[in-house]
Amino acid sequence: MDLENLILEPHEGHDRRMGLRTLWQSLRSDASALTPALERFVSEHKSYDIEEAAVLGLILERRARLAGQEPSLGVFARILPMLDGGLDQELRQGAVDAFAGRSPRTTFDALYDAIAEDSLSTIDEHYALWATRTVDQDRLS
Amino acid sequence: MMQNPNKSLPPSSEKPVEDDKTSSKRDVVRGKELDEQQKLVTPVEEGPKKEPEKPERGHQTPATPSGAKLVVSMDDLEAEIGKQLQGADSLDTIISRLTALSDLTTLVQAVKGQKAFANKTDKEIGEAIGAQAVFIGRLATDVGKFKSEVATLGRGAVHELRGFQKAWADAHDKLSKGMPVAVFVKLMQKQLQSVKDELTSKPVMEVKGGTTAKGQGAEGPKKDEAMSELEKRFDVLARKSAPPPDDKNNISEVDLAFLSPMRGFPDIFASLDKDTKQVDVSKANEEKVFSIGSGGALGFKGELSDKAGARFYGVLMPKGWIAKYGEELRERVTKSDKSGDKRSARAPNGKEMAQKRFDDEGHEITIGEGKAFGIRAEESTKEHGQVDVHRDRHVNLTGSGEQLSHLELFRKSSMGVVEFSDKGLVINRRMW
Repeated sequence: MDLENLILEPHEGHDRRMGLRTLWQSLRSDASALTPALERFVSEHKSYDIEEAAVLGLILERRARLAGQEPSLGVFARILPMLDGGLDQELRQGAVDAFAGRSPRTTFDALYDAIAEDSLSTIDEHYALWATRTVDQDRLS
Repeated sequence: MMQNPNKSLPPSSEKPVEDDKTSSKRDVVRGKELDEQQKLVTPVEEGPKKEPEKPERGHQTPATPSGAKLVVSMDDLEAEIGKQLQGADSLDTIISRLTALSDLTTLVQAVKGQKAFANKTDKEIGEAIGAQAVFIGRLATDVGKFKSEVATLGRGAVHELRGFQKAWADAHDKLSKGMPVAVFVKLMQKQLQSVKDELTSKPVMEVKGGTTAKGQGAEGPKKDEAMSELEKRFDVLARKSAPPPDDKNNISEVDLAFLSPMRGFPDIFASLDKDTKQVDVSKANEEKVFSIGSGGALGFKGELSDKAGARFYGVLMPKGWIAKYGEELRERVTKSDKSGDKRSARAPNGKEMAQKRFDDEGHEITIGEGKAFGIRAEESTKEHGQVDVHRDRHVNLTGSGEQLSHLELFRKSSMGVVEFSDKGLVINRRMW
């Protein structure tokens, strides 16, 4: 199965997780790995799984950095729970790296403010709500 | 896509305890006095019992995180996990507080210290936030309705409820620290809708004639009994579990399986904080794979579990239960190598199970109307097969009218759990 099929039409749950992880790794050297179809999926897919959401966020984070932009708050909402509850070492390190120079605790508060102000897109608000009820703020640095 | 029975292996603590003598020895090694340790071990009571008030825990050792000198009693662990993962009744506290806040006098007192209301009289504050009291009353009603909806899922929504409880605690704390009432109401309404969305996002599969009602019980397991003997009286779903190399405080999956909220099917990771002695709980992976019978778990070769000390456990299901609810998928697809041999079909996803059909490289596979899961095969489970248990799928059992999570179907149907040695002999046991 090619990467698009693995992610867009997975036969099993872990097909997609594996495909997304491969895509994230590919983006280190090959920006074209993120095809328009995959970009649409990664931007719009709604997940409730800490590791799946984290890898979606990490792909979007890398895309933003490759374009010379700062990732949006919604991207950090996808990644934030990995700092608190995620066990996968590679994804956790990716999350730590993504948050370099940025306070997770401040990000948590910013998510609350953004929800209250209705300033996020529907999908980003989904992740903001999910992250704020998943993460224990007291355990964030 | 290859699957194996331990691909989502949660960590466990250490080598199996062969008998009570070595168990005590191990605890002494962990730096505890023997007498103190014995208090942690529930006494053995032989023979099956009729509906005991508290499930029997025969030969069960304390839960032992892999870091040395840390021990937690199984009863304390059970109480803590039960406290952290509560059912629908846990919403009562929220409903009660919201109902109280919907009374304007109470709401005024709750926000009186906020900077925005400095130097204001109660009457002036009441006029400013009166409309919000009405909205809070509506929110209390909505949470009450949600409680009724979620109660039907039993323990199938404990993780979502835990998230909602946390959101409530955060928002309530922020309200006391100055968050405007209108913002508090908006946040909680959004969180409530988001949790509902999370629950309804899970595919539901109908299981025609399905029920969790159990028939006559079989004679319970005996210490040192061979698993092969036990498997004549029960269907056994087994796993091999190994500790993570990088988390010394993790509580073994085997110990978690023995807790009554888990009934043999743990869906959490737990670790014991060595300083505070608090138990940290987080959601485990969405699915867990069990071999049918102990042989598949004993024969499993895993990179992680072969390096570190592995432990084995088996969940006791009623005899015939797996055949009744499992769709046989082991030889459903003809191999493409022209040999004409058959291979196991892939694991269907939740949507495909709900639709009762799926495609595997051009082969259409149908699922029986009364089936709740597939029986597949990998290298170590060729002989008897393996079963995937999912947290994020729901089943609608038409025989009993129950709608519950796939995981809860397994839990409610299980009769007990055993830990067994690498020789295939029962070490610990607990019947529900």
